[in-house]
Amino acid sequence: MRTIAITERKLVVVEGNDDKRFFEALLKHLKLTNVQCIALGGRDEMRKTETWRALIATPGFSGLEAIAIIRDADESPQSAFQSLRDILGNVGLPQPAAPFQVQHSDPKVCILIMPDAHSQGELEDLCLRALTGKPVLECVEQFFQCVQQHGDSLPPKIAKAKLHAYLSSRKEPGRRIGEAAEAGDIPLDSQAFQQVIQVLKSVFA
Amino acid sequence: MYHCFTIRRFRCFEELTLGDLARVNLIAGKNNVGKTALLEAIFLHCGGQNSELAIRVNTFRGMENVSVAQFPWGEPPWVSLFYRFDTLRDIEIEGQDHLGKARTLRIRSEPEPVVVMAPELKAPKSFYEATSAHRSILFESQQDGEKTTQRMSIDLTGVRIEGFSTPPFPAFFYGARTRLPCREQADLFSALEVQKKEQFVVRALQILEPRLERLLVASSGGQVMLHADVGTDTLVPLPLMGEGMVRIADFAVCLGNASDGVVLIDEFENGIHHSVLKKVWSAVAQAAREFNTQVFATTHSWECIVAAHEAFSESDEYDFRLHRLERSDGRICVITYDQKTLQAAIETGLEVR
Repeated sequence: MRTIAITERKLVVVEGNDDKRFFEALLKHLKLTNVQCIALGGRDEMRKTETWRALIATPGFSGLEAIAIIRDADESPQSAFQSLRDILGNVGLPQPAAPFQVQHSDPKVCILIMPDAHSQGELEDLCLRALTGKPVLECVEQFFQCVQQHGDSLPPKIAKAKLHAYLSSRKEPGRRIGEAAEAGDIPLDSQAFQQVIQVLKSVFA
Repeated sequence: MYHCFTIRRFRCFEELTLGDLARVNLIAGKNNVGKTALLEAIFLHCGGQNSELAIRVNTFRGMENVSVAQFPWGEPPWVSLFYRFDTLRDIEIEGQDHLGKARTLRIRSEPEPVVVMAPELKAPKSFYEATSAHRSILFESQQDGEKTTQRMSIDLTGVRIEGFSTPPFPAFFYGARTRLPCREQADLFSALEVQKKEQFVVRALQILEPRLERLLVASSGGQVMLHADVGTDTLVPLPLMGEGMVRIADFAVCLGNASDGVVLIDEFENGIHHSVLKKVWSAVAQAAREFNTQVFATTHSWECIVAAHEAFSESDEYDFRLHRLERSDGRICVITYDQKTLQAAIETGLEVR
């Protein structure tokens, strides 16, 4: 089995492999080199203290200079931030005071909540915002109106559904967001990503 | 049973404390980080004040020739035991049991001859030699304020031991590239037979060879060794059955003969197919509990760690710890994984070695 080792001094920690691929594409776009991205194996794993203890025990962790932790807000951005902050405290890591704020400690730590510090949702919501203004989104909106008109209920994660409807219309349909970001289907220079970009640049400067 | 272990100025360790020790301890870490040296330190401590071990631990590494420099200013043969080869700074090894009772072993390389030996008429090694080299090493064991010492002296004519040594408990060191001599393996098996406790050795070997019916001590080609009865017309000498069989037999006879003691195994997985590692660990766990033996083993293998974790997770008690040695800011430190942390690391695929 191929195991995950810490090989760089700057680390982005995300929930799943798709997030990892997305942020790797974003880091490459930003030309932020020597930053490693690690997926903790999913949403549930990121919420377990033991997973963080295991991460801290991983060879190379003690040499880290900066860590950016990215998780979805889901139902509550405040709870998402607070629970992650509590875990960091439990395992002895520095705790940033607020989301998107860099704690200038050793190592530097910041927590980025997706799509932002005030909204419910996830990374897909942010990606959908990045597509604002694209004419094809009108087709996506009409598609879901049509679904509703035919008596079907809409998916609870509507942003994710809309994003995937949009991605299914691309040259190579069926890409997940990580692949889509790599392929340029999601515009990484969009204003929607500016807050995330500013924090990543700040923590990894 | 050791609960905590501290090493000072031994081999690559300036100072290292290994805590939260369990019945079975697996030591991981990169090459040249001190895994074998840690086993050696424990082995020295297990020997009480047995000064002869200063030479023997080097033989486990293949440094079998012991010689003393011809001149007093030459290096003593145990120089490599001392941190940064500095024999002026004593080695200190302290072990503490679960009741907090501590025993400290201090090892001192004595710069000047201090032993008064019976005068002997010796032929000089060289007629042109105007000096005679003489080195001695002192092992001082201290417990409850009581000190016991043993001194080993070595010169061009040989080795002398002064003082008695009574090891506090049995201990076996099983090196990565060594195996027990056939005769010793057979003797240890016989010792278990006398106590009617040899069957667990057979059960352990059945993990690799289900056809095995029994083990016998017999002579083959004039040499006494273990033989396996696998249901064929003749018995098969155990060494012919492959390295894995010999290694597991070695582990088993050592475990069985180290009751209330310690077994140290360097590179546990050598010669053992990954598919049976979990069963082998289960057998080790069972034997370690039955004989009240504490085990320290090293590994480089992810499969070996996962197998050990799974075997102990499925047993009644998780009396197992993974410890990783790593270099940080020029020092060697240890990171210990409990069951939950190791489980999370394995599930996530995070490196633990």
